[in-house]
Amino acid sequence: MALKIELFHEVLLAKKHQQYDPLKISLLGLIVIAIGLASYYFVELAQKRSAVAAYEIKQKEFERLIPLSKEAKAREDGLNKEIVLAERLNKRIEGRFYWAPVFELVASTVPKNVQITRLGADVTQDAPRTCRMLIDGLAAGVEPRAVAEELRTAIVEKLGQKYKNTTAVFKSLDESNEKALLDGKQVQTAVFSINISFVYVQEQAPAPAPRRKAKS
Amino acid sequence: MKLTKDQTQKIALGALMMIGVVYSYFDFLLGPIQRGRDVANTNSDGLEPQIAAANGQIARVATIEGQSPEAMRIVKQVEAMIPEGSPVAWFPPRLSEFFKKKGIDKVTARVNNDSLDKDYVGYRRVNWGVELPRVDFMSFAAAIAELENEEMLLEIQSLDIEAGRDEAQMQRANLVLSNLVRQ
Repeated sequence: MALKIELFHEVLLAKKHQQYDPLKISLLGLIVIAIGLASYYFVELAQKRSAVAAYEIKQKEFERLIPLSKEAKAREDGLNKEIVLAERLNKRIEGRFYWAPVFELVASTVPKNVQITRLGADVTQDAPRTCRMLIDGLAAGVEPRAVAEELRTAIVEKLGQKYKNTTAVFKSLDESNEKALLDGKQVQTAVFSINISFVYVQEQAPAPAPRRKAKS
Repeated sequence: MKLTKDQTQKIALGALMMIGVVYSYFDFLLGPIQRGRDVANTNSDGLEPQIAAANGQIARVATIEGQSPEAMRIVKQVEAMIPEGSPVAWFPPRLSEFFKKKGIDKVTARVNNDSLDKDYVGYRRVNWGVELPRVDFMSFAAAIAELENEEMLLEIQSLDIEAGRDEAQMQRANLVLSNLVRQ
């Protein structure tokens, strides 16, 4: 067996030591960690810049919208006032109490042997709008009280067709000493006073017909 | 491998320095960036509902503006019904003229009261006492019907019609009217 003598073993050992130098390995590790940390730093920095940029865009958008929004709010208030006023005016006009139909109905119930001497009436302003009337008159006939009663029932019937909760009650009904000339005959008369009350309910406008879809 | 005392000290010092560097990195470099990012994100999130509210407000006005022409039309129509000037100056002559056309010559109208109505901003309510000393019931009723149709801002609140004492065919009428006029 040949004997091999390694004369460079010290050089080789030094090389090996230099190759696995802990300082060198540590430095390499530190460099790798430093690169990693620096990269992470830049990633974070980019994310922050992105977030700040997004915030600035929103801030600019919001600053652009603030005056528009304030203007819109003022306009909305103005328009709402106008719409509410228009609705109230419309409601007032539409919800008025018309006396002409009342006159027409009352006049149609008065026969020729009754004379109305006084008609007083008023209507409440708040809902339910109640109308109160007082009719004074003179009924003539063989049975003047019956004539007055016929008038009272006719008033209830006629007004009741148009208005709700119609009532008519005699405040007074007295036979009079005065005689009236009716169809050439002298007949008895009665003086009456009728209290009438009814509720006016505004008629609802009919719902608009549904729109037909245009044929394509 | 056995470490010498010197090596152990170096390793300990290196470890301490490493800890210091890492702490400084996270606290002094990354910390402000992350806090800044979080603040930006929080502010950004806080702005979103405000932007949405502002956009909603603008959209709502656009919707209301779609409904407003009808309201404006009504208000303009009502304004057109009311003449300029003091109601005392124009309403009694207007009423007299109206009844004159209907054959009722004598009409007196006086202000009973005049009040602001908070429901009708820009308008006020005037109550009038109207006397018609000589009317025929049927023609008076026809005139009232026409008056109610022509004068849409006017409402008769109460009335009193009494048979005339001198002329059996004629009556005396008193009306209380409520009218809406400009403020």
